Amino acid sequence: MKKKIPIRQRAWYKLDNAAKVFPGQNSSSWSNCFRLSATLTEKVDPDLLEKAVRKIMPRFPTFDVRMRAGFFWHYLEKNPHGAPPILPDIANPCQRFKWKENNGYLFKVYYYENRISVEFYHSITDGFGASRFFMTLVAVYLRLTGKDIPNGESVFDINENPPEEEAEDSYSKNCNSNAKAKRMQKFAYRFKGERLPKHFLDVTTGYILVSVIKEKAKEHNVTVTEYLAAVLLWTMYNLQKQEGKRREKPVGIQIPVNLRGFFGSKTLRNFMLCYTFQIDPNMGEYTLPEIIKQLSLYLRFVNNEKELQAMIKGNLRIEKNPFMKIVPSVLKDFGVSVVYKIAGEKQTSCLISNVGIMKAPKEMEQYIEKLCLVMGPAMINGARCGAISYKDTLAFNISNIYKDPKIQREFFTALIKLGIPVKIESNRHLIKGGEN
Amino acid sequence: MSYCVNCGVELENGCPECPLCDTPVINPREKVTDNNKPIYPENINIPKSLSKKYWVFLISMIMLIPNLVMLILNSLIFDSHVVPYVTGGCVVAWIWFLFPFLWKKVMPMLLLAIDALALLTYLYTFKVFGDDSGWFALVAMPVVIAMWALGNGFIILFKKTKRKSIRTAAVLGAINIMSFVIEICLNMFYLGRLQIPVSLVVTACCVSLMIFFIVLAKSKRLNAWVSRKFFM
Repeated sequence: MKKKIPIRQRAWYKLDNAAKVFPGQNSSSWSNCFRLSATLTEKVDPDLLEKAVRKIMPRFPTFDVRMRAGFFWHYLEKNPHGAPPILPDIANPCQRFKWKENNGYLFKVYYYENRISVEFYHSITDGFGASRFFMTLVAVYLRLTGKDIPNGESVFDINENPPEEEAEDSYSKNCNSNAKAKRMQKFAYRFKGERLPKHFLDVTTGYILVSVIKEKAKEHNVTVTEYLAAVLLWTMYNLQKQEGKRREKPVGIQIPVNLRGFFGSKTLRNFMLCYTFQIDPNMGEYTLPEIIKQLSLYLRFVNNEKELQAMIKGNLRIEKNPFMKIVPSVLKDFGVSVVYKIAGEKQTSCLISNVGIMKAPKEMEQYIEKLCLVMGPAMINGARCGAISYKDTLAFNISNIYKDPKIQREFFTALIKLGIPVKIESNRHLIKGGEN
Repeated sequence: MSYCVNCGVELENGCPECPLCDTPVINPREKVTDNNKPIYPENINIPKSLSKKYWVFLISMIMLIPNLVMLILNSLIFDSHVVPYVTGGCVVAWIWFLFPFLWKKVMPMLLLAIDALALLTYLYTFKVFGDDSGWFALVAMPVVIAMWALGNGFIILFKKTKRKSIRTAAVLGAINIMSFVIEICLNMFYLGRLQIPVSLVVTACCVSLMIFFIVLAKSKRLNAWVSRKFFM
């Protein structure tokens, strides 16, 4: 039997099934990425932050990598630089990743006043893995400032050896199905408008009380994610209605789901799948309670191990296809790029990702005021939404590349009309100034 | 704390206007202190990328090197008449497709004039190195000048109107004019007399279609009737 090398000593990793697509999608102005931010009670010291990053890197070997192009596939190679540079924050976050910038690292660390932000390229991790890395970084930083922070919850022990399961490709490991899930759905409505200049992003965050939104979701017997996704879908549905088109398209929403709970995986690499739910306005008028009900029923119907395995199988079959294997990576990237631009986001109108409740050790909670998840924009659809809950606040973020903040306005005013108070923060005034 | 009077959301301290609806925020009771730091820094980062000029330079070099080699070999060894045509073609392609990327702001009329001049010069090389039976003055020059004039007309019209019907009528008009110019030039060159039978047929089709589109643009009733009758 082949002896496995400990993951700290491993020189390279294959990309997991989901990560294989992202290098092909990468362009000079767009990357599939997201940002986690923590606002602390004290001003951030960049020198200590750099020390903290260097300290945690050995515990997270799958983050200590750079992207390399092999002949047939891209792969992740151990990065010799030790840590990425610590950068002062910028007004236009979630910019594209280039393999040779940022010391080759596929995550960027920013600081601004009391805030630490880390942007992750999706090829190395998903929301779950990123949140564990991020919370550990914040905990180690706080320890360096003299605070006594224990391990536990989402903070990992940086002195322990990283277990083998954290680096595994859970897609390949957990796929035992012979069935292949049907993937195609109808092309959905897409909001269109004048775009912001290249590399600009409108980031609007709404802060909502968790207790209030939970109460509202409970009224309909649904989860918070289902409730927020339904309101977002209703927003997109109303936006299409306002355009007054004679023939309306279906309105779709994409919801990434963490698969770790279903398969008992501990991986810190990608292990999620996206559900796409659509409503067709040609079937008649929809009300919000109808959308909430249908969405939650759909999610409960598909949210089972067998269905998920069939979906994973569908993705793996493309990767394992002998013809696909022998195609050079340059051609694969070109193919992925063309297909993604033509049909990649056509089945959805918007994406919403909720990483859930972020728990920190009690001793640490007092030093973190708030957390925020900023999704990078969609390449074609423009807007993406991210949600994260911390203590009693849910931060709902909408990233948009359109000049007109219609999606943000419709969504947050819909929440206000539903009796959910929202506090708004945005970089819009800075972006507007930067255009001139 | 302030709330937007239009959308009802709570706003961050010191926010000059609502980020959702641009409604100005005026709250005399709100204390704006130096501690009210903006949520994002003012620093906007535009990542460096390879400039268009770099790509133009790269493609120009790729085009230039074989042409130079060919020209040198031709002058020393082969002495073929084909080489100036190929080189001239490359120069025209460069002016048409790469030269505009070197401009900070493209001026369409000037660009069109340069393109037309480049094409005329290229055609002139055929006259110099090849057949000189009068085709350049009688056919090539009038056709290129007519295309240049029509191009200018399109630029002015497309700036002035966005109405699809008017634009379609203009395209039909241009096709009609070009058919006249081409037929007159060819007949004068080959037959030596003015004959326009084909253009008259084209005119009949184009004019009737032009009238239809102009009336369609003017009449809302007809427009509604057409969309009602021919909906798909």
